[in-house]
Amino acid sequence: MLPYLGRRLLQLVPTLLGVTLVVFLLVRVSGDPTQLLLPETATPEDRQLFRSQHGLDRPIPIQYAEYVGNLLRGDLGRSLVDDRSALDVVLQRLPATVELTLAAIFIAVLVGIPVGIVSAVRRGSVLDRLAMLGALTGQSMATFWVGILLILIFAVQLRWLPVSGRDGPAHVVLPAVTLSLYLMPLLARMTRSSMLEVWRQDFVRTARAKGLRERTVILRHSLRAALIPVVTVLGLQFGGALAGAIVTESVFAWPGVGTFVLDAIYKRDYPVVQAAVLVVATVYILTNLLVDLLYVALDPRIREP
Amino acid sequence: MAHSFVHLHRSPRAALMGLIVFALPLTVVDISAQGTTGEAERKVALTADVGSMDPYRDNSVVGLEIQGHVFDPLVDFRGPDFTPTPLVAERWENPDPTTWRFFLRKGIKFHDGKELTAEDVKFSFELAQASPTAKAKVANVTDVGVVDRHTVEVKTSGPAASLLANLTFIYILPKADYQAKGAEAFGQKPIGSGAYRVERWDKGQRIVLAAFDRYWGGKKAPARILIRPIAEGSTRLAELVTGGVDVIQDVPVENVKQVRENKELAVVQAKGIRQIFFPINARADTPLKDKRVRLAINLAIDRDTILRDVLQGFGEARTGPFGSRQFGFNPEAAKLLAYNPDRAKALLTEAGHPNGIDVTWNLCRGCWLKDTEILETVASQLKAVGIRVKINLLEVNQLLANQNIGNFQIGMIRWSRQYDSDTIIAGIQAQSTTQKWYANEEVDKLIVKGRETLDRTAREKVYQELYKAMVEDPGYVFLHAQDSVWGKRATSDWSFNAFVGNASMTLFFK
Repeated sequence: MLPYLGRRLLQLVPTLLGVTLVVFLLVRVSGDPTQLLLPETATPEDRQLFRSQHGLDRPIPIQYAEYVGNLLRGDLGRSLVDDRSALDVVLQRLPATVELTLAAIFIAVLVGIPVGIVSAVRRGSVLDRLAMLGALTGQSMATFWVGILLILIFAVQLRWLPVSGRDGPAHVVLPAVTLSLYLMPLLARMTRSSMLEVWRQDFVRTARAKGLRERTVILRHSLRAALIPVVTVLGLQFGGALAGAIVTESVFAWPGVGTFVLDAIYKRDYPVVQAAVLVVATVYILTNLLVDLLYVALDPRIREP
Repeated sequence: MAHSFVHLHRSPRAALMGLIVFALPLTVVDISAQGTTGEAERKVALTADVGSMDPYRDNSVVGLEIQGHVFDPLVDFRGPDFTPTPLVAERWENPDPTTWRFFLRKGIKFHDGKELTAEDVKFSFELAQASPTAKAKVANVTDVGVVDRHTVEVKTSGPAASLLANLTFIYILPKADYQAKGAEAFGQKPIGSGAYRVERWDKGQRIVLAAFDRYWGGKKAPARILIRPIAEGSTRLAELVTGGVDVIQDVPVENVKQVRENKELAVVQAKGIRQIFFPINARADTPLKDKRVRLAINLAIDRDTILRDVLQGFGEARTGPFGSRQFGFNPEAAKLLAYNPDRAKALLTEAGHPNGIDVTWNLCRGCWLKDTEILETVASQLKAVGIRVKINLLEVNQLLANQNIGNFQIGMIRWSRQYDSDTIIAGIQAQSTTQKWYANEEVDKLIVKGRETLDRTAREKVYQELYKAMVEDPGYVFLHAQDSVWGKRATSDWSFNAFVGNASMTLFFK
């Protein structure tokens, strides 16, 4: 296990370096920040002063080299808008995003996997069809629309839950449910098809032939094997959930990285966008590493080189 | 699930929201039982968070809104008549046209109990001069001298009639505390001499302001102001409907009618706060070079229809550089560009374009209220007189970058709240002069004259002349200024501290 882990951690370095390069170049082709950060009537001299103050007037390869150099010392630059440390402002907001994403994944797993199992067991039944129709509907609805609908029903009409903000457990419910609706259908459908796949295999037939109870066959024999692709999808979709969090956070005024980075993109706050993408990419990569480790635990064959 | 966030802030979704919010009967809970929290605390939802409380680092509109509670400038323009109101400076005098002597109020305390002195004022000017975003406000200040503990002398490069108006943006910061904490930390844990001190600040979530006991103007009500950043219009509205907040910024235009019809809520409107100018490139080799063509464009626009049908009344038509209640408005000259399609056609023919012309108009979506709808309507009105507009959709950054190098035919300049005619005109005009899109010697002369005329009555005449000159040889398409529309719980006694013409700060206390 340890050499595997070491190998994977080493692979992280070039991946993250690649991420920094892509983001660094992308934000720079998106335009000159002085257009948006300085008053529209700023003189060319003012703009030049701003650029030189922030080192934006130097050739891009030099800027990048310096950026990577600073990065290695843990310095991700300072916001062009308010001069705060870009890493600090992102880290300050990361817990809220992670909290929201984990809560959403928790709900998605709690609902999606059982629904998938039941659908597989009762394949072709009304229950199965309803579940799959629900999954399809859930997946087709825009996060924004779902969020507002939930606010209308549960906050405005029923007054059961708060509209927005992050001020205690009640506040996480609506945004987490909204975000989970992105993952839940996927998990349900993956679990269903994966279960059906596994049931065609010999070891399940053997288990049944041994006269084991159906419950044991499903939960102890099939589910573990069936979950491998589900876990993979879950890991991959974590990135999608983080992206979905941008919209969800915005609708619910959730103080996470999402809303913040959106604003930074609009303002062309290069260092903040770079820091946010790097931090989120690191979280994403580490999560996938965790998923792969889980995968190894579920299927020991993977560990072999 | 689709994750489209590109148009997140656009109105159709807010329209949907408003429709549902107010169409469904509010049967479950009687909301009249909730609502305003009274004088003890006022909850306000703004459209964004502030990054730093240091006004010389974050001078966004929302930033200034909040900072205005924590800091005081030397002088502010307040009240319906927009009068210069002494704050940190008790009074001022001009020993000569380029010297301003400010006498500071004695005994003003910062939130840490230390006294505000002339050193703090000098320091704040220095911060402004070093700030790329604020330096324009003090561009003509050549020297700031401390005469004594409570007297400051400001020297300007020439007579500067607009100085006071610009100084309303120069908040006085405590030198000792700022230097001890460092710029970044000060921006996060600021102290000022304003009516409110920052009690708590959870980034992206809430700022709690508490009334300062030792404020020189006496302790203000409410005792607390809770400010929340809520970017999404529909969510702000839902918070207002459920009584989660008492006041919201920017009610989506589509929802204003429903807010008005809801007895629990009320609309507070500030007329013509955001001014939008459309510069015409009069130097490039196009038909726009001809003054008659530029006049024809202005004459072919039926502004009243646009305001009524597209903006639903939330704006003010402009046929010149200033609004009807702004300093320097010229009612006679304003009539010169009133809707007159026949004259527009005649001018085009006279200019040698009987078959019309083609022009490109740069637009960025989401840059101003109902931008696309308004420009499409303008385009159809212009088409009626033979001016065929090609709307060139650009991302805001690209639009401005192109404009700054003169690569455009008709562009866009947005101005929010400006106090003084000089700031409005000199700003846009300086830009066009430096970028060479438009030049008019008379206009340039009048700008300088207006700036150097300290007598208010004489100065107003100069700006009226300037107004006329800018209308007779238009370098812009004058269209409208948009309103700022706030919503509040009907029971809340909040209103704008001052709003008229080009408007002043929005303060959440009385």
